[in-house]
Amino acid sequence: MSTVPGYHGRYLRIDLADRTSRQVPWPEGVLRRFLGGAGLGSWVLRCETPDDVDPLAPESPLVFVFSSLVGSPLTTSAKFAVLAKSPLTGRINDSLSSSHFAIAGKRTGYDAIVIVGAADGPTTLVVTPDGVRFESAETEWGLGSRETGGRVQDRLGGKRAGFQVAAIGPAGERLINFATISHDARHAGRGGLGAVMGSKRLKAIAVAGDRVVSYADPDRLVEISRDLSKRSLGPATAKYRELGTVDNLMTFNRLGSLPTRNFQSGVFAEASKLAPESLEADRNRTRSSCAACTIGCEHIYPLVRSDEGAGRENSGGVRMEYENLFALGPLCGVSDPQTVLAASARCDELGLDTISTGASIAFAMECAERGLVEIPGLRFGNGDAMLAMIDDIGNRHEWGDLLADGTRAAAERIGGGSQSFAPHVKGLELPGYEPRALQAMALGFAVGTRGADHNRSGAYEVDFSPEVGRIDASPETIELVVRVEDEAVLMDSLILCKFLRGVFEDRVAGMAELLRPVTGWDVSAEELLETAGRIVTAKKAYNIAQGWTPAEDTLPQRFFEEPLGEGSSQGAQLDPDRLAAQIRAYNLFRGWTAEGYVPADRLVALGLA
Amino acid sequence: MDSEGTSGVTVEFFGIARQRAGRTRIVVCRGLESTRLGDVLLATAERLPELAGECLDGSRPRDGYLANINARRFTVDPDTPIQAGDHVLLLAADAGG
Repeated sequence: MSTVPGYHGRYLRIDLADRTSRQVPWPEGVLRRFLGGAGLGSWVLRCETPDDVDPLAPESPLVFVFSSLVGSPLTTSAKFAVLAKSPLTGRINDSLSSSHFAIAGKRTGYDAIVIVGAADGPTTLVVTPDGVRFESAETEWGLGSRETGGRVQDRLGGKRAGFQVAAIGPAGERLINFATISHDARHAGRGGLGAVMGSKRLKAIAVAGDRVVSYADPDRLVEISRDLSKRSLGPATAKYRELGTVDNLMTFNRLGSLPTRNFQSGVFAEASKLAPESLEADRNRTRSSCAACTIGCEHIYPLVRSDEGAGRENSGGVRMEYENLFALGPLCGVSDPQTVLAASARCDELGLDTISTGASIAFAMECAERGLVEIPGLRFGNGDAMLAMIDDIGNRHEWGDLLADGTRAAAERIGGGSQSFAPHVKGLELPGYEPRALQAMALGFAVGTRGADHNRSGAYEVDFSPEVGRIDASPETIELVVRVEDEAVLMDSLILCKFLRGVFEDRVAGMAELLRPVTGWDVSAEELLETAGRIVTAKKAYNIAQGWTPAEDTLPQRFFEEPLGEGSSQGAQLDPDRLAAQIRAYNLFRGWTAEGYVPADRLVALGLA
Repeated sequence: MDSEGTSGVTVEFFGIARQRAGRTRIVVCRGLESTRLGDVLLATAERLPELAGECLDGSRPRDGYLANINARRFTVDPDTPIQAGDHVLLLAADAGG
């Protein structure tokens, strides 16, 4: 088949209900206009999703997407995207993960795998260039994702057979709205795509193959790959290599931007107990990296076994990132490192997104302290109660069943004004960036197509820049927020690790330089920026088709009514009129109406009609 | 700022800068009423040579690092005015989590 270098030129569409599959060629021009990963995924998801579909209905598609860079020697390119309509938000959701699954998946001979329908019983999909097999997963149902992956891999011939397996844990089976899809202890974590997989009774997907793509200019690709790898070892990534993302904790605390006790404060008095140096004390931290990555940002801490924690250990150690640290630590008022590590490990095993899990528990803790609910022992700082609640969420047991649907749904049922402090945007729980102290990020949260998210917007970069004040955002903020969102969507479509950002002098031009020898396209930075705008608009159009309204583009009332009470951001709060004006300006900058709808002529101009 | 303007400027270190410095903070430019960021960073590098070239590039933060004045405003401009009693934070420019 003749196609664009870097691509196979087709995707595989699998129907679990009738156990069929077929190859679908990409229409002319789609690859260049949507690239891969989150971009190409948004195109195919928009084509495949019925309007207003129930995210957990059989006809709701689940899409695994690779990119032209996967399998190339470019560092950090071994990534895949998973997309579906989120059961947590009811909006588009794209989650990325890094692992050998991406490389093996692309070697099946497809640029994407689209899964529709629902199986009769627990099923493992086995995808190779020779076809698709539908195998029973009865014996894996109920197991954690790691054990499932190991068992399926063994059954298929062990590692030598080349299979890589992505799987869901019990949380996905129980349709928990923030369940993950996992492979090799990495997770496509946000938005509950594990529940979409669970709703299809799809326990695992195993991929292997020998199909490789050609490259337009292999010599140049090797040359720039070497250069990129060399630059990836420079000062811009030293933080990630040496300390990992947990380094953010003390910095954010000093800036008064560390979400604490369900966003009641931006300062955690006991933060130093969770600082990298404290986590390292008495622990033999090890480092690791994703597949085909030279940065090596993973910092893995062993769990110390204890009688109290029996059954909660993860013998492989815990990958600790800032987001699980903040969500299961300061956000819940917990300062014991061992408890936070155990909580993170338990989330991994159950297949729970740590941000939404921590935020849901923190929300419940505040409800309990306000007397809105009676949950014995569940108070800020009670690590044992937090650990117990993680299990209850994973098992949909008692209060855990309520929290398993996320904070938006929980607040609607609890009432009592709790909606004002349920920490979500569009249903997606906020990550560890306090929006009153980082007000460009606040705008990014509000307009984000998948909800409150730091990976799709990246507007915290604007807050962490000399150009604008982080608490008194200026008119320049809008253009900068759009720019970093565009850069992020390009990285998510190519798909590259965002920790490479600092190694590019000009990120967009740098990405164009990477793409040229792979595809042979004479692509410019200007074209890539137009592509970024197209992909963001495609996501927006998807959301509009699924029922989006302008009222969703906001933040919880708490951030407008309660100024931060202590620390370096003391007194900071959001002004609703100013945020609304910023949102209107953002929408207009995108070529949409001030309210955020996409005009028909804009859809036509971007090739989205 | 203390009333006599002699308290100096406190430089706080975060992340890699803290690791290289081997401490959380130092005080420089004692006795000065006012100065500029570049002089604060030069004085810091003089006291802590481990930071020079690693986190500091002469009178500026090196690429990949930022200065922040009193935990509010980020800057890399060596001419940024600094008053006695101010706190200069030296931290990684990338806050990805």
